[in-house]
Amino acid sequence: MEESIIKIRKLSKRFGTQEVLRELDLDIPKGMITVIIGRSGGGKSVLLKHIIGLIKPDSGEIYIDGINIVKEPEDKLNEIRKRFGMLFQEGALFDSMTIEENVAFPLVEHTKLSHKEIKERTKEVLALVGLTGAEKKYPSEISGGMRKRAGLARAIIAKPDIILFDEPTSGLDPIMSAHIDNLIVEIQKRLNVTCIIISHDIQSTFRIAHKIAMLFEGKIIAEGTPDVMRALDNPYLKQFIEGLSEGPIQVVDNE
Amino acid sequence: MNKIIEWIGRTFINFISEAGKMLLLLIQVVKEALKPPLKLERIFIQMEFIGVKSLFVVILVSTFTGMVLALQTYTGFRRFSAESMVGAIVAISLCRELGPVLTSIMVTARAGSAMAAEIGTMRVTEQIDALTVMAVNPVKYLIVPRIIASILVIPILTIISDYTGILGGYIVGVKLLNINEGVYINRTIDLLEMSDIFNGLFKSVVFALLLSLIGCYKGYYTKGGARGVGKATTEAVVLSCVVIFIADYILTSFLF
Ligand SMILES: Nc1ncnc2c1ncn2[C@@H]1O[C@H](COP(=O)(O)OP(=O)(O)OP(=O)(O)O)[C@@H](O)[C@H]1O
Ligand SMILES: [Mg+2]
Repeated sequence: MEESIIKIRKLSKRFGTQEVLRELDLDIPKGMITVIIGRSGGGKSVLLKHIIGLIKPDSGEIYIDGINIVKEPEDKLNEIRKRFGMLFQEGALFDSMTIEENVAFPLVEHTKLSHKEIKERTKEVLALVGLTGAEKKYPSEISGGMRKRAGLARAIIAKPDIILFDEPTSGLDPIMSAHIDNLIVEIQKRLNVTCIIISHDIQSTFRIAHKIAMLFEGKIIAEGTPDVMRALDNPYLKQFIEGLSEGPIQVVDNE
Repeated sequence: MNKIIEWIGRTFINFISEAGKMLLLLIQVVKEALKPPLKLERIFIQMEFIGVKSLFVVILVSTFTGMVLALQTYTGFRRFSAESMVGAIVAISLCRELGPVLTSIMVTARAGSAMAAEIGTMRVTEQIDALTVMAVNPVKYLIVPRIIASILVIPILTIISDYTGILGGYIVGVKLLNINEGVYINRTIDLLEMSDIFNGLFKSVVFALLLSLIGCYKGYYTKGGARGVGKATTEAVVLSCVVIFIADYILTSFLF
């Protein structure tokens, strides 16, 4: 396929006795949207945190543009992280700062832009995610969906070339979800960035993804373009896409 | 019996491993503090929080301590007609011992606990991860300013505590118990040495480092939601107090 910006090889991680990732392999194509799907508690967030070096694997490698970040020291890793933006599943906004300060944070920390320029840029991005008017509020004073969008604004403000989204649309109403989807697609096209999205929304996944990968029991069990995925005859994947409680994936197990 | 030995063993191992982790954190703090740029603004914000906002309670506690100290020494010293020494004893006790210890305990209760709670909340809500992801070192951003601010501001609070304590003693000794004012003041000036004050200030610097490091450490390694934050806060206060008293004894016996 195309050139991969991120290559994950034989990634394994356990927490205590719980094996979350087992020798997982995955390639993320450059300048495209890759959506990772999989059951709740399956390790999707853990995978995303490995990609940005928040969690160290027990074994395996993660190459970003050919550099194995598992072996990089923290200050080198920080240089690589500046290329990333990340939206956390729970937002992870700084609760002692206003929305405006939160969103501006990456610019304040890493650029020499003037106060005025930062202010303008923040305003622009907030408008983009539909948060105009909430600048002076604190994260505790806005709704969950608004926090998510503020997190999104913070993730994109510094124009990173790889953006990680952990469930960008969960908890949003359908109209706002569609808006955020469009926003991601638009940003991706305009800036030609690489996006990795974790999603439970099958419809939107098929609409926006260039590549879909399904995580199950610590491995990627199916991957490909939406068309390929739809045509695949994988019972696990089928069950997941169709949203059935009956099938090879047991809802209640020893998780 | 086995259970007891096991418990002692485990407690000891926990203690050593925790002390080790704390030392590693301290090394990181020093490294990050020496790496430019050092953002002064964040230190000032912490100095305000730790220092200015502790001022009132420190003054209050020190004044009353000085007052009760004067009252108690007077009761004892009168038994062998040494009332004239009350002022000197009050001043020496405060400068060498009570000023730095009381100030540190007050700051622990107010600011040390807040450090643990704030940083702990940031840990459990992934705000520390968010800092890391945005290539901002959380040790440099959160811990370095708190420790530097503590080290700068607690000795100043200690001086204020010494001063107000001595004043409190004076009020009780001279105004209430009618010890001769001239004698009270002269004895104090004669017997109180500069080294008493400096020893006390040195202690306060050590306590400042300890209490801020423990507060930040407990917060930084918080696990498990709101409950974890509560636990971290309590542990930070208890551990800081215990460590301050132990360090106080060690410093007093070995150094001075
Ligand atoms: N820091 C951690 N310590 C211990 N266990 C963890 C930790 N982080 C995640 N886990 C465990 O790893 C498993 C995978 O968690 P993860 O958050 O990646 O799931 P997920 O696929 O993102 O689920 P969801 O779709 O519900 O967000 C869970 O069972 C969780 O308990
Ligand atoms: Mg998740």
